[in-house]
Amino acid sequence: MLDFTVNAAGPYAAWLLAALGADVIKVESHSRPDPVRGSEDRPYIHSNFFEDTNTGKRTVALDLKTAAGREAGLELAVRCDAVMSSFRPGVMDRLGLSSATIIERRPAAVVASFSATGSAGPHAGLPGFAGIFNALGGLGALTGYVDGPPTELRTSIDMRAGAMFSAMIVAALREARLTGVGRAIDFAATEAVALLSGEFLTASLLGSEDFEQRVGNRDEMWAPQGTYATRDGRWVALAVRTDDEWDRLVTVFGDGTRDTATFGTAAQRRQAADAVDEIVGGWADRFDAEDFAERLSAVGTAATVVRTADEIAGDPQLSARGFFTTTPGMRGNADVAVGSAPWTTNGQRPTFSPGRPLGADTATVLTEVLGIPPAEAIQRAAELDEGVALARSGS
Amino acid sequence: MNPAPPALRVVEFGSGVGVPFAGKMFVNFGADVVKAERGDGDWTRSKPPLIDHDGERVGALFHFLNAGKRSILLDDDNSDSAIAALWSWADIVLVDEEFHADERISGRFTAAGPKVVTAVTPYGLTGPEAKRPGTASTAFARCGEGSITPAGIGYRQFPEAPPLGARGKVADIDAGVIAVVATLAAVGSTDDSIDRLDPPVQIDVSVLETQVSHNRWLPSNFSRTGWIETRASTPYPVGGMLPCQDGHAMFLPATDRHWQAFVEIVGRPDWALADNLVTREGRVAAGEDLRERIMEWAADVPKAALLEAGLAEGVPLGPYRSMTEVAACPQLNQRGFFVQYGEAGSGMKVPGLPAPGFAGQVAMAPGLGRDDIASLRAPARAPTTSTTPRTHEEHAR
Repeated sequence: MLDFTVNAAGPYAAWLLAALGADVIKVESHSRPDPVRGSEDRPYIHSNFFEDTNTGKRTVALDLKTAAGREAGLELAVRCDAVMSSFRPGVMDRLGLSSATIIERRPAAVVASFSATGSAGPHAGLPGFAGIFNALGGLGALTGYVDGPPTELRTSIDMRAGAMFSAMIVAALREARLTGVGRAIDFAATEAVALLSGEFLTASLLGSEDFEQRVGNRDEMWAPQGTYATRDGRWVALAVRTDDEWDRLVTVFGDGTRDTATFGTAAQRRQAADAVDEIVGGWADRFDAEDFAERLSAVGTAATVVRTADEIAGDPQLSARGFFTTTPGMRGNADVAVGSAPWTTNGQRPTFSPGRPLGADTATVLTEVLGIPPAEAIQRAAELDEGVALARSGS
Repeated sequence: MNPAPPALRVVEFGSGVGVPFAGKMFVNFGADVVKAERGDGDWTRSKPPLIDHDGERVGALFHFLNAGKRSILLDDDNSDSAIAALWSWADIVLVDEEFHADERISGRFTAAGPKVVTAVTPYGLTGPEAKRPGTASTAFARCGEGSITPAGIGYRQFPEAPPLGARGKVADIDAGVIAVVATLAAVGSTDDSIDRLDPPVQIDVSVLETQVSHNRWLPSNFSRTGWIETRASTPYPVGGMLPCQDGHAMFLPATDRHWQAFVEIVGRPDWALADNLVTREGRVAAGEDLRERIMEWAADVPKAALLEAGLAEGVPLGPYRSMTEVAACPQLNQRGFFVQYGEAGSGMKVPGLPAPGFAGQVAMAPGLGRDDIASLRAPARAPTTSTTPRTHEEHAR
């Protein structure tokens, strides 16, 4: 895979492909590195999460502002099964790396571009990040307190869209291998977000209109579903899916003074949602969060303490399954807890080589992929991105 | 060029959202997807919002996830033989936690292949909490995302309110996507690659891990810097959500060029031309004062004009849209994101995939138990009810 993507979504998609065993070659330049590599002179990039999505890849430095850089980019592209990019529409064309150019030279190539709204149409070319797709795709406006504004969802939206991007690429690669025919994938992250709300979008398309009001944490079917404050000042999220579940909860937590028959069905509990929240809130208030979540779980109700960022890497279930590993920080900082890929295959976790300094693999890739002899490749690597030489002389 | 490959045969032992969303993607990719149901069927059949069609009321969620599939009912009389028949027919078996609790299904995981068997469960099939109940909402809360949602205006207006989850079953959809990624890769891409998957490949997808993976910056940032992001954190130092004339919009200037273009959009007022705003650092330092100015400006501008300005000037600026607005969006419609639902002329559409060029039509979601086991061996229903022509080609085994 030749990967021209930057920031979060595209690199995450490529990282998932690396988890599947793909040889991912990430292309940047010293004048235009992936912004999430971060640097001391860019303090505004406050989440330098490069290690999160760029392990397991090789890194090549090509200055695409130069003819030689673009030519090398094309030569690499036509020797790869897939080419990924996340530039605004038209940029790959201007770089001489259009899907048509690549597929003409390699008919089975999959050329996948990721953008906010797609490459053609009345809204093509809108520059966008996760916050924009979240707004345009509709999930943001569906999510929120009943009387509150829409909700900003952030990096996770990039990752959600990136995961869908990788699914499309894997499907197209399989098709290309089997048929000999590749394809261009003109992926629109706005549509990926719209799929996350596909239930409601389908309702709208098929003529229902009674769901646009924001509902907080409530569900249209399960009741109660919500997040409740516990005695220790924390929060527990829970969802009651069946009437049997509710009966068990009433048996365990109820104080016997409530007419539980009133709330015996989900429809009754939805109808009286405020009263039911008050009852469950009263239960929550009697326990510390961990205790309450465990008691709920013990009687079959889905429940969890709302975890904070410092608690995730130590999660016992994740630890038991070997989900987190530590990797050396790219900027000389301490080891970083990085999650693996969220699946196992025959019990095995995907493994990743550590993230690499920009351009560290340029010469090797020129040799392996383009057949340039090693000594010459080192020289070419320096020519293809002047920053390589500058970085070397400065170090 | 080789002929179109045979359609992948996918069996879903799963109700709800995770497994069926994976099945939905397989349908859109041209696979032949059979949904096994029990009792009254998948609970999403009765989840509001409900759609009245052909004298039935069926959940929009069921329509969305199960278009183009077949439905086989596992009843008391046939279930043993039906499970065996489905298992042997499938290239890919998808299983959720409820069906996995049935030993007739989990007991087959190591049975002779060839196939890929993918489980999508709340916490994964192993570990101390493998059997713990979980939902999309609890995965969202446990992965850390709950602790940062909402931030910005939503938090400032309701600091005492509980943390929020994303509306709907987002975490389950995410797990379905990951199941597709891992499963398709395991299926392989040569004519005989499936035949070589014996013993079967087993894939274990955890909804919780999917959410933690998608929010991986939270724990990694903590381990790197000690920073604990919360709802009170500032999600966007410049811009963010803006109330506007008829709703809300998002403005995310990432570069100096975005800012300069925005200055033109707002009409070059003095506040926007201030020297300290020329650099990103200056704009970040201007903080709340700048935010107030931008919000004052946006308050009188309608959503449509904001999107138009964003498009014209190349600025990340766009409205928060309702589902009705998304459904009517000319961009999504022109790209063919909404695919024909049911027979030609039905006038109905459902969402397809986020890139053009895949299935342009899907059959109506099936009635409960509409199909029988014998149909697995039969090629094809009529092409007009199909997903793509490829879907109907029989496997040439």
